[in-house]
Amino acid sequence: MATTTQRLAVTALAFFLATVYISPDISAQKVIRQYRPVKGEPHLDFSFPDIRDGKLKKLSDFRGKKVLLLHFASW
Amino acid sequence: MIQEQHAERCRLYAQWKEFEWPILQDRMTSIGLTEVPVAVLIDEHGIVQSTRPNRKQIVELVATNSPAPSSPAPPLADKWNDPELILAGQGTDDWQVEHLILAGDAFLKRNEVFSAIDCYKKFLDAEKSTSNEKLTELIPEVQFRLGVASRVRYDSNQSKQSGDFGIAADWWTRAREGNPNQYIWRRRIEQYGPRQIKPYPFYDWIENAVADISARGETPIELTVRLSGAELALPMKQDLPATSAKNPDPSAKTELLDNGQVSFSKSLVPSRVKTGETVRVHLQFDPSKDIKWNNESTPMQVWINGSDQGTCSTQLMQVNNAKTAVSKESRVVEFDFQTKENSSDVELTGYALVNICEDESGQCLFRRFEFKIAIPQE
Repeated sequence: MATTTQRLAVTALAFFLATVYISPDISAQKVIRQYRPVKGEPHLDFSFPDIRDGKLKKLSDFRGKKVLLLHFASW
Repeated sequence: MIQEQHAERCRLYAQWKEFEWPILQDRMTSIGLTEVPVAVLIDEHGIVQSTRPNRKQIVELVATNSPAPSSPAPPLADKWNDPELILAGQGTDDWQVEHLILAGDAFLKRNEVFSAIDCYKKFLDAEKSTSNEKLTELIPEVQFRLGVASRVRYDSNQSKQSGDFGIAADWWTRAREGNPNQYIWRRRIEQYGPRQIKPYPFYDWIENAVADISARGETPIELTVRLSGAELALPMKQDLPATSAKNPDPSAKTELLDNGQVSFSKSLVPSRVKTGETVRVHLQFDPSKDIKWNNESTPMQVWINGSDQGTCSTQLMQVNNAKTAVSKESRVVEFDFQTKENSSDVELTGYALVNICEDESGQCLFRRFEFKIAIPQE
């Protein structure tokens, strides 16, 4: 059976984890003015609507698959 | 990935070419792309293996398993797609003013244009009240986004606001002035005018696409957003030949329409023009609530009077009638106006000859609707 000290430690850990992983840390994302992918580096992840169904899809949704990312225009 | 304003056109293109892979739309250029086409080869761990890959590199990558990185990059957190969550960070230590732009982007991806515009404008207001150079550098990015959002609002039947196309053109013009090297921004403006000396065939393929798809027995995706004249390398069918450009009502004998039965708006692309340069003028006519176009009479004609401040590409334009007896669609005509060197602010005058029907009495009228077009010079 857990002692009071052990229960307090578990509660403190749970609070710590909640603070780290649930609170809205929004410092990481930046507005990108110019992006150039670099060989050997992770490609910037992004999320945009699919033109066919409007649903948001991320580049990281395709992890596990090889991706040929083609930026093009129909004009 | 496409950066085009109108996804439906690429949907038609994909249907024509029978593309089956996902196509995502970044109409705001928010991942900082400045040119197309660009190809990037990415392995199964999200690592860039090649930029501008050739066929051999693609085959090799597909055939081999790439080594896993020691510490995989985390995927984009879902919170960046949640504008309410982003905005909830205001007032916290983590908050940065540029998060207003990211919230605006998240709203725009949901087509919530009013909220998106609100966020972008709040950023511009916040930037004015600081002397932060990093924020000032972002102004063209926000101006471009405001253009995108305004045009989305213009094209949306649910929230169309009069003048939004002109507002979009103005924001795009300012953005391009702030970053003239952004090729995609340049093309965004060029597709709406003026027509280049050597016009770019933005969407000349559409006619062939529709024909080929129909020949396959499929129904082509319907395009709801009208093509503008500058998006086609060939002249628009509305332009009547110069030899037939006679003023249809030179003595103003047609009775004037002046009770607000038809509303008029103009959009200039670019929104500001230097003397000697050309601007594309888009004129839009909308029947008011109780009025409909009468399509069982002569087509609507629009005449632009000559000006000593410059030259019109065409003075006489025509809008063909819809197929139904009456209708309420917006009617748009376009022309280019080249200003003379050292010209002052221009005011063009003109009129439209319209056939309209009043709802209550069903009375149908043929009237002359006069308008003025101010073209400010820089």
